[in-house]
Amino acid sequence: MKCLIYLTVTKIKNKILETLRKPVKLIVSLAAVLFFGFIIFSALTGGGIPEISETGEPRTYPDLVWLKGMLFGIILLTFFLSIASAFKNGNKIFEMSDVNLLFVSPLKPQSILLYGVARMMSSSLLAGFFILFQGALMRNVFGIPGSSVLFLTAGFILAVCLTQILTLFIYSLTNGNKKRKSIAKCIIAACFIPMVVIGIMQFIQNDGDIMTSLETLLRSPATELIPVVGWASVGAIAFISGQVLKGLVYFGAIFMLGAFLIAYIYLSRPDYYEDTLVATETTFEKMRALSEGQLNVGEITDRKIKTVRTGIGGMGSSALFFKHLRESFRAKRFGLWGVGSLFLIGAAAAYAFYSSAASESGVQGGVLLIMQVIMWIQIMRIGSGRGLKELYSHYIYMIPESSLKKIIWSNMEEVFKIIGESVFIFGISGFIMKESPLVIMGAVLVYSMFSLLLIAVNLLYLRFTEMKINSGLMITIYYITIFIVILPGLIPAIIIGSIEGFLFVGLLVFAGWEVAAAVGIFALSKGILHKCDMPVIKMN
Amino acid sequence: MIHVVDVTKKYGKLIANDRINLFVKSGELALLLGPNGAGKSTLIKSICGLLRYKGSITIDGFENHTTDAKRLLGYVPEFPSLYPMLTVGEHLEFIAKAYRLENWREYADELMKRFELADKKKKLGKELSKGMQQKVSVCCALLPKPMAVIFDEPLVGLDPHGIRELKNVINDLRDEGRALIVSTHIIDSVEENWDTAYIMQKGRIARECKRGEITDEETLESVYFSITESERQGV
Repeated sequence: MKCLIYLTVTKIKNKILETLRKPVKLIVSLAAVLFFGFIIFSALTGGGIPEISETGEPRTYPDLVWLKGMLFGIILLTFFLSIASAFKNGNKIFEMSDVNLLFVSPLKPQSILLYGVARMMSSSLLAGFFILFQGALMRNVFGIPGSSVLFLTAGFILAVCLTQILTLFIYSLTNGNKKRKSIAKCIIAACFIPMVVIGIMQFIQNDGDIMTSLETLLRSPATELIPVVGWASVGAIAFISGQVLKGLVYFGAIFMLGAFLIAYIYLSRPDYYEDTLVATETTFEKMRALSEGQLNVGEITDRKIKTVRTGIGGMGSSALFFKHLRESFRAKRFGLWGVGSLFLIGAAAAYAFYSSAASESGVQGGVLLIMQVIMWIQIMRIGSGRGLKELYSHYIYMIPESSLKKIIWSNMEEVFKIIGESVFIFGISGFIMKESPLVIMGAVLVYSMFSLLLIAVNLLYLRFTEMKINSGLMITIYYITIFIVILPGLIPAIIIGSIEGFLFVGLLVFAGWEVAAAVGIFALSKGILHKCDMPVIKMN
Repeated sequence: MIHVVDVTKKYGKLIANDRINLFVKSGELALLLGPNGAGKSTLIKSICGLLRYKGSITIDGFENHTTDAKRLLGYVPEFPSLYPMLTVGEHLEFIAKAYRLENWREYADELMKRFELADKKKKLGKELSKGMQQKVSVCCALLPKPMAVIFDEPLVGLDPHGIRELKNVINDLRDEGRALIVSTHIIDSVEENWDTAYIMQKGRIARECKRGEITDEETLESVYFSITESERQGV
């Protein structure tokens, strides 16, 4: 155990020393801490929420059951993605160096397992930032105090941690045995069956009224008692609504189950090496493939792909665009638009549907709330576009065409994708919320141009950071850069948009700034393919 | 054809290439030899315009970042990087379109046949073994018929047939008057047809060795070890 403590402490110490040795890294780290501190502080405190609405009437907020529903939905998605991965590949709680050095050492497997679980939990804490970033929005929509965001974050983190332990438990228990896997799947499904049955019954009883049925379902024990997902969401909401004892019971249940699962793995079957090996090796191989310039490792799966239609269109730089189209239409059922796009469209529509039915104060500006959230998401999503990934392979550098042309054609697919996606996201949700067509158009423009700006910032970023975009620190600078770049457009846009009847003009101002900034940044990134080192994704 | 003058490449404080000079003329096969970390791949990437550097690199007189130079240059990377969702045939078609090649299909078929890829034309990049990927990577580099070709560890991962065929291809390219740079650790695999060997050590060219300079008692391998091991022992 001493050895593992030494390993953990040394890793942390070396990380700190590395930061201290590099003044630029130190300054950037401090700036990152301040930035995150500001985000968290503003989420937790911020300005007071007005009790009177703009029309002079007392402001009403949606019932907290809807907040519970949102948290439930987010945790449910995380839960299913992790569980599905566990059934397929096992758990990724170790690194390859752990496998090579610790697994073969004379250390107790139990101690190594605790080390892995501790490591995994610390990375789960980072996931909680997602909720914190949405703190200000939640406070505004639900009228909850800043401290409530902490309970939501705690519930989310606890659920993520317990899910990780559960995945290890499942993989360890089933151990590649198909029959056991089927039984485990049935047990998990059984936890959700009461919720589904009650949901259908409520839907029939309420004559197809979705919102009433959903509200009743969210309040029912069939939802609240679902392990992990139900416990975490109910616990968080219980704390927020002042039911401390109830909150303690549900959060306590998460701790108890987590402790039980760890104890079970610890005591009964310490031979978990094989269980974790597959996932660790798979992750390692994908990282190695990435570091060797293999693009789109996510597409290297066992899924059978039909190659009925073949061929690449275009000529010169435009061949890059047509190649991307061929790849996307082969990789995804809906071509440019994958699961991520469908999820955003669906989530925005669901939110619009819920706000139209649940809020008595109307949903004017609801589209802007959706826009704000998906802009946050887009900051990270944009890097997954084929255009930016292309920079990690030698082909784009070697093609005898102008650098600018190659960059433009390489990102064209992403531009088409975003415009199409935004039309669906804001068109559908705006229609449900009976939003003005001008505001919908404004939101489409702001979101699309924001994405264009993000592509430009990514390119500039690659140029000035020597293309080491993958480290956590660099991602933080990336966030700060975007924040700084949009600020000069955002401030006048807010001022103009808040004038009665000038919302669309405000949106236009912001979109205009985004275009101007994007063009300026593209100009600064000129010759990027000649003036930068080809990036390499590092293994760690 | 390939002219490298005073090229220095630094990563922070680490000097990966220190004032490198080399010249490879048409019809010449130059070897880049050296232990791990000697700076061979860095030099190759600099020549291909994938890295920034100080100094000058020209291909047939054109600065290596220009489109004229790129048209003349072929590159086979150390690790083949294919697109998982493109077929073997589409990889070649993509290169043909991007390089604006005309009447390329016949040569593409010839290359695929030579590297036993003809029956795998419709296979996706993700479905190929590492060796097969390396063969596709070689075909992609050769399709534009470049006048200068740079191979970075090209034999790694290839099966015996692939190795023989690639060696034949390299010989053919040399006979056709192309300038070739081959970086390798497998010295005996290239012992037959090399013209100049640049033995690199710690980011520098420790010795430039012409084929005619080697005595009958010596082999390229023995020359290599005499240089790298004497430096290691501080001689």
